[in-house]
Amino acid sequence: MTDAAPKAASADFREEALPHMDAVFRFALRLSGNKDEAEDLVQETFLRAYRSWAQYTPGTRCKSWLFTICRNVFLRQRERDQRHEEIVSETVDRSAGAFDVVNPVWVRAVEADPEGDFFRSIVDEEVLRRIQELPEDYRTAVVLSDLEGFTYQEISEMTGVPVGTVKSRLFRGRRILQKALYDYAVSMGYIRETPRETEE
Amino acid sequence: MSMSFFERLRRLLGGEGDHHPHSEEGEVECTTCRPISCLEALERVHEYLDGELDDASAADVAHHFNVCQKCFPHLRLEERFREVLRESGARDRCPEHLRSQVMELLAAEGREGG
Repeated sequence: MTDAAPKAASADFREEALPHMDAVFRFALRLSGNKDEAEDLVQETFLRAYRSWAQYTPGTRCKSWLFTICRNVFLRQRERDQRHEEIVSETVDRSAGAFDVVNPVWVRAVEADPEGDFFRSIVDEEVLRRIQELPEDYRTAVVLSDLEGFTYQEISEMTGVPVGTVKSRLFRGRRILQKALYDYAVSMGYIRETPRETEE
Repeated sequence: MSMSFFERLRRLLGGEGDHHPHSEEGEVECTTCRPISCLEALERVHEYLDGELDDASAADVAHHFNVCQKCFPHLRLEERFREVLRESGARDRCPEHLRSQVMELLAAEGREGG
């Protein structure tokens, strides 16, 4: 960055980047699952964004750009603690219903609670905890799509993987979450399943 | 284009249009719901709800869910699931102290750079 850049960037940066601070904080919180770490991520993200503001094309998708920086910072920090990520990944069945066109969880739900009323009983904290338990690649796709509303193409650009991979991660991530939330609702008594007859 | 959840529900419950319940065995293939099968509709449900289908494909999928009693609950559950996800994080805001820290950081960076 040139000497004049910070001053010139300041007004534009305030106008274009700073309004996304809530969204970046939310994203950082979902990525890290930890408020303190999320705050560090936000600071680092905006500092890096400010320093590389010259590389940003005004008027383009600033939010995507900030999210990309945020995720890169997060992944770099996670590399230092690889063991943690492995442990988290091990706790999740990455294949939960992943290859069934007919969602096995919804087949159960259609019998027990076809209106999906059980979702109303699940508190936000539980939903967020389950999101947190997803492997990072699935979690990022789900958060960017379902919480932040990005398109497949945007997520593809932000994460550097093909659109087909984005779709696959979304599909599997959602299936894992759906199963986790449904099983939680059953365990809490929000859903009463009738025993199914065994088929010969 | 796709109809709202309530419009679909109204049609389904009101018996309006060509509503053909599936047979118990009709897990995947549905011959009464044209132009696409249950399999195709369920395969595309994510892209449909994500707004990733072109208008014609979205209309095909919407039509199937409108008329297929077996598939409709799957769409509804998928929609409920997404509502819960959306709402779960919607209230989070950047804390004021963090906002101030970022501003101070940027101001310091600007002074150093300038």
